[in-house]
Amino acid sequence: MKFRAGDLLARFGTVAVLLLFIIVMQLIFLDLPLLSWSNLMNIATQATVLSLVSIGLSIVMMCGEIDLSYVGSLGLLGTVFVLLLNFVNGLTAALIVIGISLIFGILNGLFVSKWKYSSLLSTLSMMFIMMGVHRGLTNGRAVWIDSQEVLGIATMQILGVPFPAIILIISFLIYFIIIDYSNAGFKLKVIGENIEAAKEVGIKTMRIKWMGFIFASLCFGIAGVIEPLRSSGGVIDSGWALFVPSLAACFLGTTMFEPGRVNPLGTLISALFLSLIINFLTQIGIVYYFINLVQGFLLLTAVSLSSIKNRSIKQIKL
Amino acid sequence: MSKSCILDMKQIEKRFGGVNALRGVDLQIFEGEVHGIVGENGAGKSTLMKILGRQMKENKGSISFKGELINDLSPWEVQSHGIVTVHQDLNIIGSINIGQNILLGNPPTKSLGLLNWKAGYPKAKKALELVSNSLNIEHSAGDLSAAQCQLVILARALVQNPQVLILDEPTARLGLEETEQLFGLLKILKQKKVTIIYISHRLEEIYKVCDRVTVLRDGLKVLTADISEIPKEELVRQMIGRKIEQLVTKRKAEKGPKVVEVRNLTYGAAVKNLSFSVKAGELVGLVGAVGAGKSEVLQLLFGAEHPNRGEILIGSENKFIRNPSDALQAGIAYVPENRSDEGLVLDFAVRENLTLVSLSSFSKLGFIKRKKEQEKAVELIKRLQIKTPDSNTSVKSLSGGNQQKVVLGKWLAGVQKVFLLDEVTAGIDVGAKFEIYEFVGDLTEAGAAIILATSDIQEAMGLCDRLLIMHRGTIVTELIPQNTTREEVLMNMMGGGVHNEVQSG
Repeated sequence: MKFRAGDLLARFGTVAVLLLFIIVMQLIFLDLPLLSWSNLMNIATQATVLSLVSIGLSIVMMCGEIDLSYVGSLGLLGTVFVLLLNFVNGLTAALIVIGISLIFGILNGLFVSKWKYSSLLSTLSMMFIMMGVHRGLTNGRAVWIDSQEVLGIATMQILGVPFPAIILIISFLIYFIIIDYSNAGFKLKVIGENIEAAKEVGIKTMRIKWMGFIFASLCFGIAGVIEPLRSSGGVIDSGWALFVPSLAACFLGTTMFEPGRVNPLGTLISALFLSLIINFLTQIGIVYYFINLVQGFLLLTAVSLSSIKNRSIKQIKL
Repeated sequence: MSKSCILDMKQIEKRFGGVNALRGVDLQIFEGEVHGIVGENGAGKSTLMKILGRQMKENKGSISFKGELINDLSPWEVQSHGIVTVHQDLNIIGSINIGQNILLGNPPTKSLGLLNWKAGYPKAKKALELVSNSLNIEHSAGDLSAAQCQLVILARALVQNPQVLILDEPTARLGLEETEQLFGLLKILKQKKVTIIYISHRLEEIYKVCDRVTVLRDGLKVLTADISEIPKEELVRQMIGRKIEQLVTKRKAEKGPKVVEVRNLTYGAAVKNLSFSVKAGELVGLVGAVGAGKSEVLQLLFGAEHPNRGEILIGSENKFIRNPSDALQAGIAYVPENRSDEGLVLDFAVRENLTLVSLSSFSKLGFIKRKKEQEKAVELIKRLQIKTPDSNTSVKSLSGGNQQKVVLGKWLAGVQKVFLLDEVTAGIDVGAKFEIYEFVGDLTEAGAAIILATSDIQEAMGLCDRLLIMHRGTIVTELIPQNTTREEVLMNMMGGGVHNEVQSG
């Protein structure tokens, strides 16, 4: 493949700016251990849930739809996990929670790919339904994990890397291979780019889209298990905190590597970067109340960047 | 010839709303033949092929492939049986390379469902070499020209090892050289016993490549014949069918001054060096097959597209049109070919659609004067005989013909001097058609200059003062309806000019 200067800028420009931003932040706040190993690992743990959710969202966005159900399901799944720990061991509870999430994925796919509902509205409805169920289940209270053994998993390290981060790395690799190197992933992207072309060459668009929703829910399910491990319990509205950053990660991701398209590496890098920023802001003492403000601006910046860059990319015109 | 029948379509019927697109068509295709399908626009060619490819379900009738009924198969099942269609839409994925586009439907896969492009490339390369010498499979598909896209789509069909290959206007976007190569390819496929169904508006191509030809007219099959047994003139006569009387006779003899003048207009490959002028009160037909460049000319005149070269002068002040808003101010009205997408706000009421263009004349300080707007709408509904329960009914519940009247009507609310009408009666029932014709006649009487782009010869002959015949982006000739025949018009539209000798036998 040939690279031109403009091409390189389009692919790696955003990454360079992000790196520069991080270095400048560290230089301004020299006394804070922002880029220390322990802080980076701390960020990695925090970033796991956001990254998993962004990955799931990105898959659905790749086939031209959107799935907001995780905003509701994440909190519900976390709470169910904590409640299940009273009856079964950690691994069984995790598997049950992931299984429940897969059922949500099947339902989303049923609405959107089979019945052709608007994905925005049907998954938004699912989000609120799950929030409602969640509140009903706990009367709006948080539930906490008692078992030190289970909590130990969250802080367990392998070769200095925390366990949640390892789960993220494995999940990402599988996702990356599926999207960029598998038959199904290729067809998913074709559907997202030109569904008429996909139909014309006999791609089973309904089935592939449905698989996309199920895979997304698999990611949400894993995130639903990690989240309570990380925060020691199931908290109402834990999905809300990820709503904006995960959307921002997907849009910011379209400005790198494969400009104009939601892509695996871009999504991951953006999710990690956003986690880093949130961590920075907390460390330098930005008040919690401002977090919505900051997130709103971040999302707007991500969307602006993606639309500015995508406008300059040549579209096929007949 | 003792050939076996590979495809047998029996009594195929298809209705769209109240319109009968196909009225009991029988079609037998022999194994290994090249079978041409011809007919005027709206004859039902594309509908029949879509039914064959299962993208559409028939209302009645049966289709069998090698003696086996295939009515219940899905589009991809039909493809896996080897019935492959090359559509007119160029569905290319710009972000991947040409090879991947060719292998789009069935990407080469190794174990675990992982892609193995390398394994598929030789196959893709072979298919691409059959259609083009210049394209490379590893080249990105993002910057291909329309002709190149068409070639890639042809190659995409070839890798599916078709037994029956349906080509819908395959040469519409191809240049001369590429067309020649396509004909060579058809010969190779024929040797391999591939059956080909060939739809074309270009008569010379039908005679060059086809063994047999079927003529469709108004949703009926008129005939199927060996190409060697039917002369060109007879084929044209069968496509047109019965003689039809003049549609509109009343017309002011006196024409006004020149209103539209076009000089050396060029737009990509679609419009090449066009010059013509239209006087006030004159109705000029821009006649040509689909893809001849008619729509592009109108879009250029309306400022929706920008020419590469040439001048467009409107009115006495020679106004320069940069965009549609300039065109509106210069008094140009444009009725696009695709009325539901471009001409109407389907969910809005008839009244709202009718006053859309001239809304400012019913507004004060940004508020709409409902009463005045309502009066105008009712007047237009009466004048155009729009059949609607009332002015507040949403446009989408009207029939096609009445929808088209609303599109026309919205321009009448203002004061327009030039009307650009693109396939204004396509897909409209006969009754509404005649009302629209009458109305168009009235407009010219009132002094409007009208350019009517149409592929309907009957309409062009019956309505227009002059016919500019377009073929592949150029005006091949100018004809006066009184001094010409439908056959001559059709012949010129298909690029077969009267002087071309036809080889038959």
